Amino acid sequence: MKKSYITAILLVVFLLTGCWDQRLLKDVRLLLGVGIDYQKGNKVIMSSVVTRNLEKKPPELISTTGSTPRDARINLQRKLIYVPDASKNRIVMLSEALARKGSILEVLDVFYRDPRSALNAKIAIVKGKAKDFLETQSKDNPDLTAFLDRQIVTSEAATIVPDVDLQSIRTGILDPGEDIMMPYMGLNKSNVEILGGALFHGQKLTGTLTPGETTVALLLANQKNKQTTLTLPIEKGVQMTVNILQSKRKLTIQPTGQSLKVSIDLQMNAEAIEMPFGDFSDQKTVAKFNHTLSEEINKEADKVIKKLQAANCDVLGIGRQLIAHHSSYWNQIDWNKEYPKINITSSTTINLTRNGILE
Amino acid sequence: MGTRQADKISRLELFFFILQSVIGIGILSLPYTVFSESKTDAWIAVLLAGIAITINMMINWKLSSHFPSANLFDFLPTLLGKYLSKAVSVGYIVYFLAVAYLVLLLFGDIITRWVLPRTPVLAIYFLLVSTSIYLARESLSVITRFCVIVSIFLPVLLILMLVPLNSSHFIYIFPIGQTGLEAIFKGAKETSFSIIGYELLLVIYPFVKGNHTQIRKVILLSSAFLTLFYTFLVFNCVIFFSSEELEQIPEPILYMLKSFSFRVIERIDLLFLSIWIVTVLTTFVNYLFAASIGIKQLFHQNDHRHFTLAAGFLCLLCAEFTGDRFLVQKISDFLAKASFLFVAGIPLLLLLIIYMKKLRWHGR
Amino acid sequence: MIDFGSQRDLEDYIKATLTTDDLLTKHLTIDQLNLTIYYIDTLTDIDKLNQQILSPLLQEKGENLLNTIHSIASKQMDSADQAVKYLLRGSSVISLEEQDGQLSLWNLDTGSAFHRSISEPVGEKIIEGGHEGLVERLSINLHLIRKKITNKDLIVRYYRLGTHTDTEVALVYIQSLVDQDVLDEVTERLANIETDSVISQAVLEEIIEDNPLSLFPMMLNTERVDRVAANLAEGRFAILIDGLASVIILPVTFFSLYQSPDDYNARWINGSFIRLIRIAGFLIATTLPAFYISVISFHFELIPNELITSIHESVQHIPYPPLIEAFIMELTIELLREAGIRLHTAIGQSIGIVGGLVIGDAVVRAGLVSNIMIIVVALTAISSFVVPSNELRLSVRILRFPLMVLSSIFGLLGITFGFTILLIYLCKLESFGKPFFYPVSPLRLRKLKDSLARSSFTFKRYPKG
Repeated sequence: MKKSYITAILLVVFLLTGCWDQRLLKDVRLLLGVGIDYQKGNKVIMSSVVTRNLEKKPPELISTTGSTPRDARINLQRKLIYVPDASKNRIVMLSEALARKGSILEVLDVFYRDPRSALNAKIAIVKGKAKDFLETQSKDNPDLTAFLDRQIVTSEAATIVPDVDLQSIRTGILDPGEDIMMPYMGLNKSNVEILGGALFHGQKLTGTLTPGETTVALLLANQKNKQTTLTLPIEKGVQMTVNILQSKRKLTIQPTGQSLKVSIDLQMNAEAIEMPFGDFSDQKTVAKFNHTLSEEINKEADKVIKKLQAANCDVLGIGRQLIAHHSSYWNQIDWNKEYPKINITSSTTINLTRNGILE
Repeated sequence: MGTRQADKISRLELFFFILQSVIGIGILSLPYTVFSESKTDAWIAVLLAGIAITINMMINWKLSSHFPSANLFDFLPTLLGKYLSKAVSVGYIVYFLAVAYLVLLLFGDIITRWVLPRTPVLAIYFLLVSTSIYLARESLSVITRFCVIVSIFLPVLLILMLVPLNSSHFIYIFPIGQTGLEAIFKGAKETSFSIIGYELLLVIYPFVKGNHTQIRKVILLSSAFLTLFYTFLVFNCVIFFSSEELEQIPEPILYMLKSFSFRVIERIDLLFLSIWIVTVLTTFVNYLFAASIGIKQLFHQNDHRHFTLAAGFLCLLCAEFTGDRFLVQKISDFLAKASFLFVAGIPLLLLLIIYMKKLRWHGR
Repeated sequence: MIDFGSQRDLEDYIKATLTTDDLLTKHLTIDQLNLTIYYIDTLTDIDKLNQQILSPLLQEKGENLLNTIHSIASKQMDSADQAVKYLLRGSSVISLEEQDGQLSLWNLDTGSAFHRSISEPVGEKIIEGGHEGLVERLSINLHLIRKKITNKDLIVRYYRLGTHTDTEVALVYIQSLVDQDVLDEVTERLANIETDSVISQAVLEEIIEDNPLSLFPMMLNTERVDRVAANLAEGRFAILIDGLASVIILPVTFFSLYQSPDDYNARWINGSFIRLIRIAGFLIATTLPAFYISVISFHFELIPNELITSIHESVQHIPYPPLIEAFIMELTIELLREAGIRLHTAIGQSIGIVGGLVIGDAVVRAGLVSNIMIIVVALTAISSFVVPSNELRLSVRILRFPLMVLSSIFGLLGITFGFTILLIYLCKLESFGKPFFYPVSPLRLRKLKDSLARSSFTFKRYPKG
């Protein structure tokens, strides 16, 4: 009986003193998205999309300034009745200017260090200011501010932007043999749009690609997602849209002495999804289509590779291959200096295997 | 000591007892520990450590098999004489308690950092210790039964670990062997220090049903399972994180799970950690049990219940008055070295004594 | 033979012992033999007495009379106290003064056999299969069981328990199937019972079970004949008490409490599915409110992105912490259940409607409880009704409260520890030397398929133990 008294007393003690970590859902304002801008004087402006409590309205956009993102979040708390909580954050948007400063991991540290933060949140680079971007969105379409990440997820599936999140960009940035590409968004008049891919060298934004180029870059990097469409000129004034069904990439790397030869062999099966005319029942015509399409993609690929090298962004993971298979060569060179200079050739073949329900 | 038939445990139960003693809190940070020594060859280091562990287990088995109805604390006097054996017994008891204490410290640390930052760590310790005492005061058969049930969480972890494979980079492990033999051996050493728990075999051996060869089979099986299990986990972490990243993440397995979301439940790491506690608990219970059996036999008592209670609260008190995490790190390092003595050193020595005694006997 | 000199003395003695007014005596003199018939009017079937005793006796003479008594009496008794005992059980007692002045006492069974007609037990309905239920008469219950199991090994052992009530109790088992150790244990415990009265099975259960403070029922109570027979055929024991329609079955395991005869009436895949649903019901009934509390007040990052805003909205206006919110609703449900259980079916239904619909809706509108909490509590209540055993249903309902408290202090960690303690407890429990959580602990993989699921009869060997 003595034992049960002790248990009862302990239980009461726990009950009276307990709930140290209790953090009721009703007492927080959920942070659904964050935009971070650079401000002169080494400060950041954080624009936070927070849910409203006690009234049924779309989330609210509040901007605060601080010397670090954490500091800005603490300042945000001063403006709210309830505690802002970042554990359900879905998207982080960094302004172009901030990304060009070349220390995004420092800015993002608050998201990595906190055990509660969502590591699977999406990340994107914004053309211009993230604050303006979010403000326009919340003014025109307040209901959608909470769903900006959906736009990125949809584009990922269509291979328009790379499939990355907070966790995976850190892996990429900290890997010496690889660089990352992030979704690039911006305003077109007052519309929120995907503008393509933002190229990084290490932690620094060094260039951008258009949506079409991003798709090709992703194909070259063997990161084809569920759906991939390309629109390419097939004759003068005629465009054909194809959906890539299958893509196989082969990366051959030959270090010969001091120079490095890289060739990318890309083979794809495609389905024609828009073609105003043309006879798919004729083998010769199809062969001609295949040839033209391959050439067009090759041209595009060369352009993309040039841009990637200019941005010193090894999104293809050539450095990683060197580490893995040619480590002696890798140890000799400084990859950061070497990469823009190396010779990368690509050969792409496209093969139309389906043509919809019309001939 | 007399062993009732009802207290005997089956070989299946022995298998899971060893598994649950070994697998515990250490697994969450093992990939980090090994990686800091052997880099991307960490998984080779773990495989190598597996061999060392198997050898250690065999030493423990061989030693125990000379005394089919006596455990460590029973046969020490026959080998070492009255006074020395007392000292070694006390040594083992202190070692068991120290391991339990370390498990408690690490548990409190991880829970505080990952789940309950503001809850006083004493409350967390108390939760683990009181639950453990409740189990550890029972007979061995109840403890092993519990170990068997909760082993269902091991496949859960394995299945969860299959998910990240999809977004992993197998290329990270290449080139194999880049860090050199020295680094690999260092990592292997580190690993074999942190994979302990099978030495409890010395205490429970007489309770196991079956003959020596059958038991050896079970032990070999468990060591094979442990090696593969640990290798798989470490391998998984190596291919998921890039090197520099992994060096900054002390609990890579949790961190990996944190970045995944499932349709029904987001943040699988929290759920996983909450379940994994049970596996940590069994490690703590098994050591607590072994220690209290030791104390019981040291004082020639019949019941270990009171000693379990005392030992549990001793761990709790020590843990509460332990300083910062740097001290914890030091204790952990020291204990790793000490474990080598108790897991492999002393058993090997005892085995040699047995052989020498036998030789002398034959000589006569 | 009898220590009474004359009929007169005997009658005085019996009347002194049984001072009750319903003790009647009849004096007869047949062929110079003095007969006295004693019986308790309220226990005796008068027709039986007339037809089976008085009319045969009145037709006989001399030597034949003794023979007749021999043939109709069930037992000759050797003391007046014994006679009193039998009178109390409904027998008639004849005392006969033979010509040599010797007295002899005879016991004749003339007990009235009023009993309820055999009907399906209300608390344990099944969809198809046998619908026989037990009644309050021991002999009829034994008859029903014997009819189901015509096995020479079916053993019945009688005990008389209770110094005040002197209740007849029967232990029934199939000799060839039971575990001898358990049999010894059970017979020993039954033989050593010292109690005043046995008016409910709980009294008996508490006396003979290993751990009277146990949270879980260590015995199964059932009113179904087929369930008793099935359990006997699996090597268990049944204890029947005269005057009670429910039978105690022991030793039980946790999983046998989750079985219902319905499982064996359905096809094996369906039966297994239903059984797995029940086990899931156990998990839901014990942990769901606790899980919800811990999610809503500790770890709301677990909620999927698509759900978080709607859940956030629904909890915003609730003034109480989730634990109190849950307690309010759980209490309401328990009250409703308790209110409805003893009322007439028609009123019971309207209580269900008032409680379930009106209160549920009003409570959400009033902003006392969030609608998600209503869903959680309702789901929990439904899951707890799934358990086929009545006592286990009660334990399951109680179990969730400590878990809820723990989860409100430590979140998921608290649930894990609470559940761990429960598991340890289950591993520790033993019922008559048999582990309660068998076959999960100790683990027997082969038996598992027939306790968690219900494997096909084709795969099944003859069960034992």
